[in-house]
Amino acid sequence: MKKMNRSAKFAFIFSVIISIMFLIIVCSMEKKDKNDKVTTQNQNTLYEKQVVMYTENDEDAAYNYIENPDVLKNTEMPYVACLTLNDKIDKYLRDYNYVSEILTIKNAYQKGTIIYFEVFIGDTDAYINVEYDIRYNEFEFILK
Amino acid sequence: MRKIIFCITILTFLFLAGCREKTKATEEIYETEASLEKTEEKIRGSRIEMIYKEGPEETFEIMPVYYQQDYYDIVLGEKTVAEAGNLVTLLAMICSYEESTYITPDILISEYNQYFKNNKTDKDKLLQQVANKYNREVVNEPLDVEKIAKYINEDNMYVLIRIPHPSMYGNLSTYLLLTGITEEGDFIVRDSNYDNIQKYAQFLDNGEPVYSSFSVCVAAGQTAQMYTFPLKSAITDEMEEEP
Repeated sequence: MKKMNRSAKFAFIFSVIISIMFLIIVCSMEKKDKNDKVTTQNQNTLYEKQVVMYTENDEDAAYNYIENPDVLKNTEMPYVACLTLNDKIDKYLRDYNYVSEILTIKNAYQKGTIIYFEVFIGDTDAYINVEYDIRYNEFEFILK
Repeated sequence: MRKIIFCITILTFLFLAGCREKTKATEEIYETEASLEKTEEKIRGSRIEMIYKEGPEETFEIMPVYYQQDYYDIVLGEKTVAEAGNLVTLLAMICSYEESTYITPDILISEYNQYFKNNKTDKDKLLQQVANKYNREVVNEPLDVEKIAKYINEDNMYVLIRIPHPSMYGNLSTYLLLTGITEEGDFIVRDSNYDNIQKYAQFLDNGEPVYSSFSVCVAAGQTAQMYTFPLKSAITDEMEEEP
């Protein structure tokens, strides 16, 4: 092997030192990035895992509830009927052994003093035809 | 010799430059951490910008907004505030409003620690204690829309409602706080569940969330309860007025 002259030696040492310095800096930066990513990931996982579920252990957990009541906002349904609407539908459905279902209102419209709409039960094709008479504050349900 | 000096100079220069870069990187990390802390601090205060009443005292004009999801690491019995902090978070908003300072859910829990023991919140005592602190009474009655309008518009009170069954606002029980009524007749609300706010809320110019009163009534139903907190002096006056 050819013996290196002085300047070649310096060049070699110089390049080795530069490479080491470069590696040290890059490694320290990567380590910090990795730590940051892990912390963020942990926080996100923690947040995603937490489902909001408040209970006082006296709830009616089997209640069938309407998820989109605002569909009826364009009708003239009075507040007194709003307060009873979901309770009456829930009671009617329980007679047919439906519990804990999410109900979706569709095809709502008003003709004169009668409000018509359909209430679909969960993911099934079953639904209730609802007629509400504003004059008498009366609901009529027919399960389809 | 000149070459050696030249090389040492270059090496020193490069080393210093490297150190500077490292220092810069470290500074950036510290800055990021500081800004993260700042963000956390911001989130753990009101999520809307607060408005103050006119006058020398800095009194809150509106109720601050806290979301239970922001307190995912605060323990509440066997769960966390994010999971089961519905009532606690709303009470924290009430306390903050009454005192015109930020009493966040974690502060409230530490203050009323004795009511969160044995993995159960002693709701009635907690409500009573909070009301007592502000010289108020707790009045519990079935939900009544006309009364809500009277309490909010005439008596200048906020109304806490409880829906004791699954609804569009919650899997089991849900508390909502009604703080005002808009010109359209909808409720200005405080809902501790940020998921609900994202799904159902409209917003006033000042950032306060609004729920359709129609939806709240349908979701609540006839079994819902409402809690009001009239001043004790107001109740005494009312009793004296009655024959």
